[in-house]
Amino acid sequence: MKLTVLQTIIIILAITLGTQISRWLPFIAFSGKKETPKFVKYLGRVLPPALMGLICVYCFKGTQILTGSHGLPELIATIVVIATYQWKENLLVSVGGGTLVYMLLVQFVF
Amino acid sequence: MNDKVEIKEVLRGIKAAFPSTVPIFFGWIFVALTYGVLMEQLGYSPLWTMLFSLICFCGGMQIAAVPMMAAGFDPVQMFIMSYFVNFRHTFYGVALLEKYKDTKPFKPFLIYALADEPFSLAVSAKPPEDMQPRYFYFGLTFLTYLYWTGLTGLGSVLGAVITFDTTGLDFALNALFIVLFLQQWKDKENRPACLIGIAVTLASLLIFGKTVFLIPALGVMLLIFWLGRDKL
Repeated sequence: MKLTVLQTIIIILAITLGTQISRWLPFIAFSGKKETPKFVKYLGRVLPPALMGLICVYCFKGTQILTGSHGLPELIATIVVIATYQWKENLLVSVGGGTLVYMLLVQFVF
Repeated sequence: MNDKVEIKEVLRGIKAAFPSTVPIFFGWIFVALTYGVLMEQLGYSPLWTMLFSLICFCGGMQIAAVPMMAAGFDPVQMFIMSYFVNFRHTFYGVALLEKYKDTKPFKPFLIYALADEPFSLAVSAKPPEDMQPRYFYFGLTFLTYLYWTGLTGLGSVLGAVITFDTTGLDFALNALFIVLFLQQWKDKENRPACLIGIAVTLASLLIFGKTVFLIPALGVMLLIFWLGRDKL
């Protein structure tokens, strides 16, 4: 350990504090008896789909388009996920199938 | 609403939540093993690694913290970094205000562990009709919390000796998020917001690069939703 035990504990607490503030903020700001503002209610409706879009882009941020395999394994596996989901509408089939295809592609093809 | 907890219902909630959490388990194997190995190289035993996961429960930031800890002791920088890396969780909270309203006594735990994966499942997966939703949300969050803590601990024990090639296994998380996105997409009313989410984040990634793009993306999204509040 590069840091001492006490220093490590302080680091754990620093990371936790930063994370927890971001998680608790809305629940503290809009708790209690007061009616939640209309705009915030509306955000509660539009944010889930928008944030799922954000997370989808976020999880592909490391994909190299210009170099390496040009994002082809990601593209193919994504198509597999979408196609199997349209077909079966089963979460585990799509996730398992897409992941298997992706692993085969990055380990043996590209 | 009655806050009393029935153990039988808690177990049912965990059981009902289990199938949709399976992709997270597989998706985390690679990440957790990597994290465990990195922590081990820094001199932390599996118990320390599990302590980090139990208390911090923020995968991305825990991994980002490894090189920062190797560089020296700087808790203020760590705190600021951790707040900004996890800034998006504030938006998750706004999105879940209604769903998490009647979740006592689990609510503090649900908020404490509100990472990307429990959030995605909580907005998309449907609780069984004959169950109080709070048990289902607890099941989702509890299982993801258990996986992360267990797998990262295991990672620092097994990471160095594992022979199975796990390259590409982390795509399970991408696949899970795509499916959960498609579930949002199914509802026609959600489509404009789905497209805004994708387009704004993608544009921000191209303009600002992959280290800082989330914060401008969230800012612009908020602005668009404010401007379109009567139309969307």
